[in-house]
Amino acid sequence: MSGDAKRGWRDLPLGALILDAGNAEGYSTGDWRTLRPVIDLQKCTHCMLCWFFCPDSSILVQERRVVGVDLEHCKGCGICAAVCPVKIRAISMVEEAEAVRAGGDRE
Amino acid sequence: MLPQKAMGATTRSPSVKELSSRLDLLSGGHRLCAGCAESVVVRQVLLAAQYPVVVINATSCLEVATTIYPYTAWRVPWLHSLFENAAATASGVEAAYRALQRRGKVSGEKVAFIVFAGDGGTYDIGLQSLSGALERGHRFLYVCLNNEGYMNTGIQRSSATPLGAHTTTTPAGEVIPGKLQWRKDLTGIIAAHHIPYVAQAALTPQPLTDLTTKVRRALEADGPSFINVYAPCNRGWRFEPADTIKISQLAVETCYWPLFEVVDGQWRLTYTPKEKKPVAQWLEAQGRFRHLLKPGHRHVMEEIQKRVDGEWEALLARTGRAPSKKESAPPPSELPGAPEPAQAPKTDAAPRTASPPQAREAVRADRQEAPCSCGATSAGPRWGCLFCGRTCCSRCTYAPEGLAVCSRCALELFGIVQPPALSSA
Amino acid sequence: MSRVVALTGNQAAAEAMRQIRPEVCAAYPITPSTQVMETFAQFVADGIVDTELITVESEHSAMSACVGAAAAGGRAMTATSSQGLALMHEVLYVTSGLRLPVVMAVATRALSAPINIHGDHSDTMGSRDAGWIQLYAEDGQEVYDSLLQAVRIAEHPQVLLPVMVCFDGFTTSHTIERVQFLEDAEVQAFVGEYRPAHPLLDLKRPVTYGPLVLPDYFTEIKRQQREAMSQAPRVIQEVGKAFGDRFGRFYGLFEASHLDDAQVAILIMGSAAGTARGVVEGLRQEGVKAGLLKLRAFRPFPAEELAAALAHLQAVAVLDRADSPGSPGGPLFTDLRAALDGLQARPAVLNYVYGLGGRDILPEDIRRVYQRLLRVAAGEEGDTAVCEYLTLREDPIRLAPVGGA
Repeated sequence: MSGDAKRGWRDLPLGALILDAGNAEGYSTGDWRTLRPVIDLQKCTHCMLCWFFCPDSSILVQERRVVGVDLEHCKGCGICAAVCPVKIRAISMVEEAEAVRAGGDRE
Repeated sequence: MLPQKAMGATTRSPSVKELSSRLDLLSGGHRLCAGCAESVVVRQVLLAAQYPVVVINATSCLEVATTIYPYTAWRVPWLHSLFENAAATASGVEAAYRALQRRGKVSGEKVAFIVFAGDGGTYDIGLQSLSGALERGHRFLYVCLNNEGYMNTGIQRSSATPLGAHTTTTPAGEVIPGKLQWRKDLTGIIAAHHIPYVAQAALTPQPLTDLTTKVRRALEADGPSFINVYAPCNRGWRFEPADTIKISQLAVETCYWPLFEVVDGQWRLTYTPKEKKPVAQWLEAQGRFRHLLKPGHRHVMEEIQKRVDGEWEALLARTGRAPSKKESAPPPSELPGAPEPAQAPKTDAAPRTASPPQAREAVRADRQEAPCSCGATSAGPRWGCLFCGRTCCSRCTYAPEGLAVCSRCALELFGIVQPPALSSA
Repeated sequence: MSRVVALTGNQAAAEAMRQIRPEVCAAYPITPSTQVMETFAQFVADGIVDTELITVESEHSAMSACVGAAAAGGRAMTATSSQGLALMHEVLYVTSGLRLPVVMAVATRALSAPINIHGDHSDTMGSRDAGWIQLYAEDGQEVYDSLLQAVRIAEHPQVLLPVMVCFDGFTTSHTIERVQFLEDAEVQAFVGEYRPAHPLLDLKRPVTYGPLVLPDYFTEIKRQQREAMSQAPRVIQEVGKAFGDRFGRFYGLFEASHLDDAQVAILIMGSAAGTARGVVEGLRQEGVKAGLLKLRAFRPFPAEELAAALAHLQAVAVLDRADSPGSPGGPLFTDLRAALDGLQARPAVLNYVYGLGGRDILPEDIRRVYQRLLRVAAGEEGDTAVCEYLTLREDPIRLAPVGGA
């Protein structure tokens, strides 16, 4: 919501209709996290279970392969790590504070 | 109303791999709790839908958290009016659609109307308008997101709440151990409306594409359809957010939440647990039942087990299955063309927990003599499927990147249907 | 050309709906509006109209279905009364809040308890804050004409509010009167095509209807509704004039009889205005400067226009067909008092509640009102603002013997 002045009553669509479908993508929920998923793409078999069970559409896939995590929206629930097959364990949940310290906002 | 039929009863969901190339119709940036099951259900339903979708949403966690003005997470047309009238509102949308099509004011393409409502808006306050809409035969899919309580207002009981559960209006106290009534059999009530397609589903890795398959079947129905989806709430049920899927799976494995469908009045199971787990395992995993572990409340746990058993037996009878306690052959596969589930040895069932490489070898040796889940009885190597753990043999095992995957998981995850080409080891 | 038919107000409403040809109608029966949808249902069964008729299981669902249909991009209509209107009360706010131009016929009836099936205005008065335009009809002709105009008013881009056309239960809904109907093609030409701005069924431009609006935006959305209501009087008059230009019967916000040079007058809505008009004609013949103002648009309340029309009077009696217990008077009375508040010179205002639960109001009852008005105008009586129940039976005063049982 940075920098957006809120519009006045004459400017807003009537009846509070929202005409910009999916604009919630512009709202960041990444700051909810206290844990961050880290995907070891070497171990990953791209079975897509993490993507399939993510509540926040935050497992990024490209051409049928897992490529990373959407850190703008990931809330760190840990479902992805939990559903990754136990024999693969490609995802681990890391303390967010540590992950940020270790160098980055983004994977 | 003219008779309605569920067409496409053999319709199947695309594999997860196939689904992964589709656009998510629910964006990130909504404000449901971390680990909430509802958005997982919605994502899967929308990904599975084979037609363009219009959503009608009752007042609920889902509705408020996904549309906080001026943001909306919905990439499809979406309408919310009130709490108890989602089905009536959807009736109006659907009727207008038919009229507008007939008058040539909108294109003739088929649109899927999908209603999302919680158990509050479905079992209780919304039951009247749902019943009326089903009786009139409007063509929409109604998905109940059952988190067993009024969660949006802070965890109050609904008629879907389990016996013995702590909620803020049925608190566990000195005298009363939580909710005193058994849950309402809503799916049964809906089935009694004799609509073309009714189902119960959950978010389970096993079976993986059960929900998405049911969505596809429902949307083929020539009339109303209904799917009651189990949606564990980590805030209200008191478990760690990461355990949402585990809790769903446990509910299914304990037969607390059976997976079945009713197609034109015919009841059939879509999943039978290999081993029916005691309900206590599921209860113990949730804080809302913590008080039941006290000695004085054992009778409630027993009552729950008794009722789950009774309902499961009734369901087995209804679906034409032999009761599980008899020593009979496992039921035929629910998936066409897929191998049969494993007939696990009774005393030392292979645990489906982490198995380091040495143990994998051991598992392989142990299973050598066991019949394969595909029915093959010939001697030969056996593997444990990487994803579901069931036994598979060289006839039915796939080995992508050196790992063993059974035919069923290969189909559900990757969409692979060709016979495997494994050299006998 | 047009035809004149003898039929009930309910049937006239159904005919208007048939000619409007909405995409969707919702039907739930309640006395005394049931016959609107019964008549319409027969049209559907005979293939005379191709509207999708949804026989819902409650009035709450009737209005909910109208919300869905209107959001989808179709025209939606229904009819109800009394308890049904009360049951759909929360949905009325959704309809207006989402700015959906639904049109509804209401055969007004008393609200329980006590349960009573006859006509008064308590039901529609109970909905006066829901953001709907309310037009009151005096007779079957006005029911028919107002429903046709309601579609244009509701869909006007500067309005976009739902409209209810209200007519007295039994007195208008069930009485057979002469109504002149227009041709189907004339009606279609008058109402025109509905062009919704953001239909749900426009799949290429997905829209979200009914989001959660927090305190930071809610006030702005409500202000939009007030703005629409303040544009509505102008639009009601424009459409009423367009109707008159084309079909010869002109409509506006109200209808005045003998008002210009009147000393005293009655303000009234609904069928009893007809009775009052007869009394006024009689009084005029006796040389009394009596006038009548029949209000058509109760919401929006045309405050400025009414103040202008009534300012010159010495006394006016507001006749309410509903009460608002605990309030200084009936709803029409309190709104009028507020409207007159800014005037330097203003008439005395009396308040009568009449006709509750279908109680008849006779010419002699209205005559008594005028007689009191004249006494007040002449200074012979104070203009007490106590709300008086017309035709109320009072018990005779009993005198208890001193010291005895």
